[in-house]
Amino acid sequence: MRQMSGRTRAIAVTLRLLSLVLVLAVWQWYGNQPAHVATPPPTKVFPALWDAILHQDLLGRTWGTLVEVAVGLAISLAFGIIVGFAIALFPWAKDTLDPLVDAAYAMPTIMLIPIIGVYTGLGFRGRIFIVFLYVALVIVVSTSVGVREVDSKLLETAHAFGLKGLNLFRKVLFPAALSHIAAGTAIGVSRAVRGAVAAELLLITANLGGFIVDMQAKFNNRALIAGILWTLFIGYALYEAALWVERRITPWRATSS
Amino acid sequence: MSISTDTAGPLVESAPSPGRTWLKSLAGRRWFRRLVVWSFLAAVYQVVAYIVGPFYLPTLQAIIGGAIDLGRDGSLTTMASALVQMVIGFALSIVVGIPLGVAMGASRLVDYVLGFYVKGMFVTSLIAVLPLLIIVFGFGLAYRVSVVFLFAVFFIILNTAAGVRDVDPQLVAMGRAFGASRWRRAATITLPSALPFAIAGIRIGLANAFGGMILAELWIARDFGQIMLGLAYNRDLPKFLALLVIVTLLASFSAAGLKAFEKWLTPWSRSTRDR
Amino acid sequence: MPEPNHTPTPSDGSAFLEVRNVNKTFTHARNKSARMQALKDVSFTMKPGTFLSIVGPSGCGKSTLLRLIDGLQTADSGEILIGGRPVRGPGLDRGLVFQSPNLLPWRTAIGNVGFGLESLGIRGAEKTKRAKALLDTVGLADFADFYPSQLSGGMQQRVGLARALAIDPAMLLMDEPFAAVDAQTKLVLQEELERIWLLDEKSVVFITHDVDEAIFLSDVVLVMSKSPGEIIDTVTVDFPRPRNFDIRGSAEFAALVRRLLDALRHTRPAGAFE
Repeated sequence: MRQMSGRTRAIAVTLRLLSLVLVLAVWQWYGNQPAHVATPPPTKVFPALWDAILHQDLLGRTWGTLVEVAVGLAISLAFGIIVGFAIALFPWAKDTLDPLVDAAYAMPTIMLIPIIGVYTGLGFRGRIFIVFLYVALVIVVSTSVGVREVDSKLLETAHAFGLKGLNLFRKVLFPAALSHIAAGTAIGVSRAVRGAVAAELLLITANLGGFIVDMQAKFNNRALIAGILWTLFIGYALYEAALWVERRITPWRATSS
Repeated sequence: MSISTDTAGPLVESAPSPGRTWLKSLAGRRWFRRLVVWSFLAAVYQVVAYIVGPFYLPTLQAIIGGAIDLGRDGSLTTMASALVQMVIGFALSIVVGIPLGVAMGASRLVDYVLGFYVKGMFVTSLIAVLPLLIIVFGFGLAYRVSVVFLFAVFFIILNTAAGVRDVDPQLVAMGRAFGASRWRRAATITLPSALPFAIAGIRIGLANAFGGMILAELWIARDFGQIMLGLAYNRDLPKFLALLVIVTLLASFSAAGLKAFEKWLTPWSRSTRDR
Repeated sequence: MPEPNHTPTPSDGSAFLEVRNVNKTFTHARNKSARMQALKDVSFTMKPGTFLSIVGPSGCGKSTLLRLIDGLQTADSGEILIGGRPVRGPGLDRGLVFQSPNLLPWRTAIGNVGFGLESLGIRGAEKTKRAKALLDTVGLADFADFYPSQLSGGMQQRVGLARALAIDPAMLLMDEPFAAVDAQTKLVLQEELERIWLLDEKSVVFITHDVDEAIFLSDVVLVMSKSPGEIIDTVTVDFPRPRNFDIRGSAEFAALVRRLLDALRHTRPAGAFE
């Protein structure tokens, strides 16, 4: 948050709270209209959320989704950092892979879901692969940008001190690129959640996505909206957690919002 | 390029060193490197496709054949109408996103109140919202437009806001020193400064609009979505992969088109930033 | 020659610029108890048509003083009068030339000069004609359609000068305009500036940390100390104009340089937030 004077800040906080109240009030009003039976108001959705946590194993399903996120993210990091360094350090790789990375960025990942089962099966492996497709590119790009932006003076100093090969990588290149990689990972986390939920909704129903599909099939709209809100909340919470970790890993960087 | 009459004459391009063999000079060329590596990758794909068989990977010529079939059986026409719906949603996201971004960039108060929701929606899984959108909008145009809109709009808002915030305070001080009013400063200093950011947001937004369009179609399994799912269920890999390539090329070219547009619109920037 | 004073003089109508007992203190953005007094009780007067320089070590508050005169910032106490009227904000009677040229990157050289003209409401063909003439004055007639990124630092500074001249101000305020250009270019630009100044002898307040530059250009040089910024000496320079490179080698020039350096040496050493 940028600097605000005390009074402006008080107004801002009040307005934000008011806007939250307003959103809830409008939703309550909208949901209570007889014509909108399909979209129940918050007074019915939040009890349904509590009920789902107590009786429908929502937390267990969330854990399943988080495992997919974690495994997919770990594989993406390993792959992305290696390819990212390759693109940054070898001109051949940069010249030839950059346009492919661009094209891969342009490709709607979601379109692969209908055929991914052909190669991975529809189970856990397939979902992990989709998470990987969502995340890996971001890591590749942030790593290569990070390595390319390593200060050339820093490199000269390292050479002057005789650092070479693995030592150069460990002591200079990697830490210098780390802040970009950490930033890319924070974005990667939110993309991983997106990929996991997309796979659970479209590939084969499971975990959080499965909950949403179940409730939709049962026309239980209270629990459906509760599940959607919960999924959005999990994505947001994970992203904030990733930002927190990013700040801890690279304390020398000025904090960004 | 920097020209200086104050000190020196024009720069002389350094002559190529005579010792280079033709092969070495060729290896330094980008097009040559691409030709080598891409041909290699294509060859590897082709070999793998022959080994695993058409049940897993269609050959390149089969994919090209699939593209021709898609044109003959009218699939591409259905895709075109899905693209039109996407363009509507995307246009809406620009019309809404730019003013919101400007407001968020110009006012800390607006940023604090609105930015809370925008950033929240930006990082969450909007895919989960689809069932709700169907409840509210049904299966028609409004649903598809709203999905594309939600997928694109947050990138446009956040980038525009960042652009407005990024304006060099020294230039603003210059404007004040030269008696420029608030509106003149906005038109001559803030707007051109924020423009590249806004266009970058639109470019990323467009890539996401394609994703949103595909998602909206797959979820309801009608029209274009029905075609895609039908090809996948029948394991018609040549046609499906051809469709994937066509959509990817369309998305790439429209992104490249926006990049060219940005370059044309901002001739002062010596090189456009990579992404 | 005007005779600037350390003590406020009663306005007798002949002074064009009057700075009276100006104080300015900055507070650290985070740590409110850290304060730095940038200007302490600064007073001087200046007659119209004078080229006045203020020299001082970097960070002594001389740029702050210039921004106060332009009205971009306001003083904590004291008054600044131009033609007898207090400064309330930036105005078109003053043309500012910045240390970094602050050209609009999206406008060509002629477009940037046009920015000044637009402040006067001049548009269309008249704007183009006058902007071309101004570029000619600063020696950039052939570079009208170049973007700032295609120009050298010295050339960018010339465009900045042309932009300030475009509003035809009664006074030019120049904030270390040649601090960032190389030594040779600087000498050329100094002579150019004198030539342009002699065209209509506007009042100029010129900020610099370069003693040679101040003497070469000015009628009057004020010496400022650091932390807090105070005026500690006033030197009158009366070499005939137009001046040329040769005066730099003269004994009088050397004596003036010596005097200014002496005054500067006795200013207090650098101290940041206290």
